[in-house]
Amino acid sequence: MVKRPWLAAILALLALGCGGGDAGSSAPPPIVIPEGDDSLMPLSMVHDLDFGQTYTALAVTDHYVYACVPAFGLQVAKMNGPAELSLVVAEGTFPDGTGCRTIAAAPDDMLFMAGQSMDGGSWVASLADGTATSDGELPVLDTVEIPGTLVEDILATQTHVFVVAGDQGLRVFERNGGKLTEVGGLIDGFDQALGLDSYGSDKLVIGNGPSGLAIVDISSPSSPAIVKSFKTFGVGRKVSVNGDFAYVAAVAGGVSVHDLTADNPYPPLSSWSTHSSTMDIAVTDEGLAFVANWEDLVVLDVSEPSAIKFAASELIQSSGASSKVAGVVAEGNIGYVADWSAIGTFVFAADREAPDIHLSKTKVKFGMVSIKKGKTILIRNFGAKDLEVTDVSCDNPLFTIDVKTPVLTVESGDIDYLEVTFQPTDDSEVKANLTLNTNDPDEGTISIPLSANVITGKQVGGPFDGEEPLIYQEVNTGKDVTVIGEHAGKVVLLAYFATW
Amino acid sequence: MAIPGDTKAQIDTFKANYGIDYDIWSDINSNFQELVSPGGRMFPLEIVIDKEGKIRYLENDYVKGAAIEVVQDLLNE
Repeated sequence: MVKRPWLAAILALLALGCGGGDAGSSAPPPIVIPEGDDSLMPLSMVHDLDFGQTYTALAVTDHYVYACVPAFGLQVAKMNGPAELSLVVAEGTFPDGTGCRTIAAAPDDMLFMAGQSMDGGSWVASLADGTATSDGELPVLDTVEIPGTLVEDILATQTHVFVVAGDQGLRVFERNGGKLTEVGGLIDGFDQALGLDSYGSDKLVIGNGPSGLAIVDISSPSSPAIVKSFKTFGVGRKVSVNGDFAYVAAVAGGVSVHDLTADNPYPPLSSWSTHSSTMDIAVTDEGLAFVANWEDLVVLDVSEPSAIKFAASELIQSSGASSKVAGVVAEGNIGYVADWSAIGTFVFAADREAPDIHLSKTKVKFGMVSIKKGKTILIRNFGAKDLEVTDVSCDNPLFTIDVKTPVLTVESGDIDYLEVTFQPTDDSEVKANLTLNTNDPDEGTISIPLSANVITGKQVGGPFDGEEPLIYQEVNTGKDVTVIGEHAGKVVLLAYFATW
Repeated sequence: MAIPGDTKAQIDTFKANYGIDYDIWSDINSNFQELVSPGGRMFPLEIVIDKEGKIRYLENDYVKGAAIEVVQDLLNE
């Protein structure tokens, strides 16, 4: 949650509208007008390769951006202006040695964060804004344990801290400065509490997983009570409330808008179907919804809640690791983004008419290939002007690119495609780069890595030589098992993950 | 496959919170982590292993549908 707006913008600052809807915000929000032609563009991005990255959630105060890194702790960036972030702290350690999972700023700038304990539970800790020092000290003021569950989201007010914790529903802590005392909670009625936001002065709206949303009366914080529950499209994950409307990031369900005053707020007033997975959402008083959309950052025009519409999208391009847009905070026309590869700020400029390319694949893997094989790359134009794709080429003759015309024109909102065909020869791993030029203001030249493994039953993939047996441990029994011993004759799909 | 260091208690909590009912294993010996080192990341990481125990797909990213496609190819072999 952004605490206060920027008072100094680098390019231009035009104050519009009334006070921000976020708690503690009293001054007009910032409107930064960026240079260039694009409607959504990065202002600043920072990351620290040594810190492990994988930024997943963030909180923003006047001068700092705090980004959770689940494996390690908290990374802090100083805001010298929305266009200039600089890393302040490259390390922070918390209870149990585990990292930060989610974080929120209270109206008085106190920070509350949560992480996972080694015993399977969670901790919630408090620290003061601005106390992170250049030598890596992050003085924690207080810590409380929440056994047996994962904390998914936090909301901090001047007097209380509200925590949603999956199947354990809502937990309420009274705060005395940074000191936390649990005073209440509510489990009944919750399926999987994943996110929350305040609604008026005495209610919360909670994303309740597959069950949708719940409105909770917190007029007596120690005795919270569900006053309304209703479905949403997809999974009720993160929620942002603006006025009487709840905007829900519903993973594969995209974004849905619900009128909280309706007797039954389902079905939603309007919705937006994602081309990926909506992980987080932040709605500003300027009628913009910034959406952490896993594969990109999306901005929706929500000025008319009954007819929300796509406004812009931007792939996060960092020199760090793979981009996965996981968390977002917004104020005015600026979005603060927690991406797996970087912490970034982005600005949206309305009324800009530019093409905006969106590719269905940013890399093409043919996998195991023994015969000629083709794959299609869909080219969407999310922008307001015609998109032109030219100079499509590939640096390896084993790949051929079929494009309908030398200049492929994709009208606004339309879709077209390229066909990539691979003709295998001898057994080997083959790599290439497909490049294309566009008139998208910020993606003028795009390079798409292509790869294929020509096989006749040989090992493919990484540096694994296939000689050593792969061993894993069965979690329930603690028994070591070899893959070939346990799964001979079966095909195994294995996804690596971390519980944090 | 849980990363090395995730405890049984953490994994059990994770399964309960997200309603996961399929098998979860632990890479306690870092065998799978070593498949992408040096230079790779622990995750995203997807691996497909064929009926003979050989790795037939290894991707240091989640490429939508790619691993499933390999599984289907292998099931048809």
